[in-house]
Amino acid sequence: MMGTLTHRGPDEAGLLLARGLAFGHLRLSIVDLRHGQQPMATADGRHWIVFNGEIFNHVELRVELEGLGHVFRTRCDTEVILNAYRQWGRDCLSRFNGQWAFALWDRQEDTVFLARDRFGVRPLFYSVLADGRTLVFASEMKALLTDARVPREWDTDALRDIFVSWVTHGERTPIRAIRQLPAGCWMEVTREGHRVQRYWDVDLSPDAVDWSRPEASWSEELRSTLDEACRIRLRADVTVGTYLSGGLDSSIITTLSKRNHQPDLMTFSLAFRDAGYDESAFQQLVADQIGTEHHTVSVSRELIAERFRLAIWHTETPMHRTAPIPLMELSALVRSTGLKVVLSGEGADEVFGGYDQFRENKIRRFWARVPTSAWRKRLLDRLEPNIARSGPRTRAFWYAFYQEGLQATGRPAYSHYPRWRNGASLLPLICAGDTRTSGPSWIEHVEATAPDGFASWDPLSQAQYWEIRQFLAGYLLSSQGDRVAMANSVEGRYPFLDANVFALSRRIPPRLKMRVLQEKYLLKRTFQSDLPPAIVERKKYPYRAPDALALYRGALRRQLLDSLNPEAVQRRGLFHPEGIRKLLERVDRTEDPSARDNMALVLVYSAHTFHEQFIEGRMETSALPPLNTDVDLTHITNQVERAS
Amino acid sequence: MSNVDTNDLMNQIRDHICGTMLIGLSDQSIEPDESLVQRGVVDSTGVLELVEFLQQRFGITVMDDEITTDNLDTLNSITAFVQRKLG
Repeated sequence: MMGTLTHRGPDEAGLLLARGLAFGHLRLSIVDLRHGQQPMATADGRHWIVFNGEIFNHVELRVELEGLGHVFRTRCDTEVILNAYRQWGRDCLSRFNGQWAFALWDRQEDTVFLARDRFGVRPLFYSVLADGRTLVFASEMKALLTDARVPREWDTDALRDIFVSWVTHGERTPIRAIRQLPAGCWMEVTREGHRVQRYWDVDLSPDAVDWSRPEASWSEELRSTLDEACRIRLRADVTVGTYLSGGLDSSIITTLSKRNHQPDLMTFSLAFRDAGYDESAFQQLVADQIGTEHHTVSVSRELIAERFRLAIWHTETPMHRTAPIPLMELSALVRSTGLKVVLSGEGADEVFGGYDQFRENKIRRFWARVPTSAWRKRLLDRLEPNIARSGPRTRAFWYAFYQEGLQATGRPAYSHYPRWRNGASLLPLICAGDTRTSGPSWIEHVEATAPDGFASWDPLSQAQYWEIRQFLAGYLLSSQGDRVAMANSVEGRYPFLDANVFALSRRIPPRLKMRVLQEKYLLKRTFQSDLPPAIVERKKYPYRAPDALALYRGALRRQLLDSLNPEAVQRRGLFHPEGIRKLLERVDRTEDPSARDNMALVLVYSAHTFHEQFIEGRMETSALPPLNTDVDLTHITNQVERAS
Repeated sequence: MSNVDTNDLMNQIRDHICGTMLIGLSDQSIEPDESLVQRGVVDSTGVLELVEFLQQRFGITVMDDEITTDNLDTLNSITAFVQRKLG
C-alpha cells in the first residue's frame, strides 16, 4: 500500500504492526524534523497515531496541556493530538485549528478513532472488506486498490454525482467498495464494526449573526483574525511560500505574510501561453509592490495534454475541466525551488461571498419577483460575459437558461439549480448502472440533506452552504488542492479556512459579505489600502485553463481517440457509443466547441482514463524512503497496564 | 402546407436534433411541445447550430430578431417558424 503514496511523504517511512492492526506512515517532514517520526505513541504505549496534516495552534494547545500535567517529548503537533485526545477524548477535535486526517489506536480499549478536518483539506478513504471484519484506510484510493480484496468496480451513482455537480455525494467515491470519511466527521472502529459521526457542520444560520455592530469594527476584527491565521500557518521548520494568482485573496495572504511575519517571502504563480487565461500582469503587479522573490511557470495547451493522464492518477476522479493540471505544474515549480509548504487563498470566495454564483442567485431571486420584467434579467449580463459577447442573436437563450425554475425560490438549492441542471443535461451519455436516476430527482435527493432550519437562512448563506459542502470539499480542496500539490510533495495551507476566520464570518451579516452585487465587500473594504487599486477594483476573474481543444487538437489527440474509440466505449460500458460518436463529431466540426461539449469531452475522456488506471491498470509503486520507525507488537497482547 | 409536409418537416428537424445535437442516444423521444432549452438540447451555442442547419437544409434566412425562444424552443414552434419562412 505505502509504495503508491511516496509522493505524499518522501522523507521517511514508519510502520507499526500489532495483533489485528497495522499502521503505515510516509512523512513529509515540516515540523521538528529530527523527531516526530510516526507512527507515534504516548509514553505509556497506550495510544498510537498516524497523522497527515497540521494542527496550526499546536503551540498554544501544548501550553494548555502541559498545564494539565501532560509531558511532551517532541515539538510536533502529532504529539499534541495524542495528548489532546487523552485529555478531552473525541472533543479534542473542536480545539484543533488546522487540516488533518488521522487514525489513533487505543491499545487498551482496542479501538481506532479516525477523524478528518472541518473543511476536508486532507483526504481519508476507507474500505470494509468482504469478510466484514477488516477495515483498511489510506490518504488516497490507489493505496487501497493494491489490496486484491478491494473490488475494482465503478460506483455509477458516484459517476452520476460527478456529472451533475463535479463531486461525489456523501461518502461515495468512484469505486463502489471505497468510501471517504466526509469533512467534519469522525469514525470509530471497534471489533464489532464502525460508525461515522459528524462533529462539525457549516452552520450559517441567522442565529449566529451579530446584526448590531458598525462596519468598521468588523474590519478591525477581520484584519487581526486573518493576520493570526497567516501567522500560525507560517509555523514550520522549513521555508514557507505563497501562491499568487493575481486576484484579491492570494494578494491579501501574501501581503499579510510578507509584511507582518516573513520578510523573505517567495511567491509562485501560473502563467498561460493562451492570453485569454493569463493573469501574469496582475501577479507581477502585486509581487513588485510587496517585494517578494517571485517565480512563475508558464503552461501551454501541449503541456496540459501531456499531463492529463498523470493528473487523473493523482486526482483519482473524472473531471469537467483541465484546471487541476496547471496547478500540478505550479506545485512542481514550488518543489523545484526547495520549498514544500505554500499558503493559498482558497476558501475566501466561499467564506466571504466572492462567487458569481452568489450574485447569480441574487439576480434570479430579484428577477423572480417580476418575471415579466425586461430589464431585471439584464443584470445577468454583468455576470456572464458571453451574454454581452453573443449579442442579440442568442441573448434570449441565455435568459431562457436562467429562467428555468426561476420562481421556485423556496427550494433549498435554488442557488445551484442552474449549475446542477446544466450538469444533469449530460447524464444521457451514461449507460452504466441505474439509468432511471434523472437530474431532477438527483437534485431533490441532495436538497433533502440540507440542515434543519435551512429555510430560515439568508439566501447568500444557503448558497455558501452548498458551495462549501459540495464544491470546496469535493473538488477545490481535492482536485485543485491537496492531490495536485501532494503530487509533488507540497503541502497547501489555507488561512481563509482557519477555524477562527470561519467563526468570525458566521457572525458577519450577509449584506456585508455581498453588498448589492459587489462581491467580498467587507474583505475588499478591509484591505483596500494594502493592495494596488487595480487588484481591489478588478472584476473577479475565475481561474480557468484551456480544455477540450488542448486535448483534441494537439499532438496527443490520438491518445484521446484511442481511449474513446467505439470498441473501448463498448467494452468499458460506461457510456453510449453513439453518444460518444456524436460528441466527437460535434467537437470535430468546430474550433469553438460549446461549453457543454467542452465539459462532456473532458468528462468522458477523464472517466475512461480513470477506468484504464484504476479499474484495469496496475497500481504502480515506488521504493519507500528510509524506514525510521519499525515497531512490531505482534508477539504481545494488545492490552496495556491501566494508568493508576 | 399539407399535414404530410408538416410531418415531414418536423421529422427532418427532429432527426437533426436527435442525431446531431442531442447528448446521448439518438432514439430518445422529444415531444413536439417539449422545451429544448429546458431539455438542455438548445443553448446559446446550440441555437446557432440549429439556425445554420435550418438555413442550409430549407434555404431560408433567419434574421437576428427572429432568434427567439418563441420561434425556436420546441419542435412545433420551429416547424411552424420554418413553414412561415417558406411561405
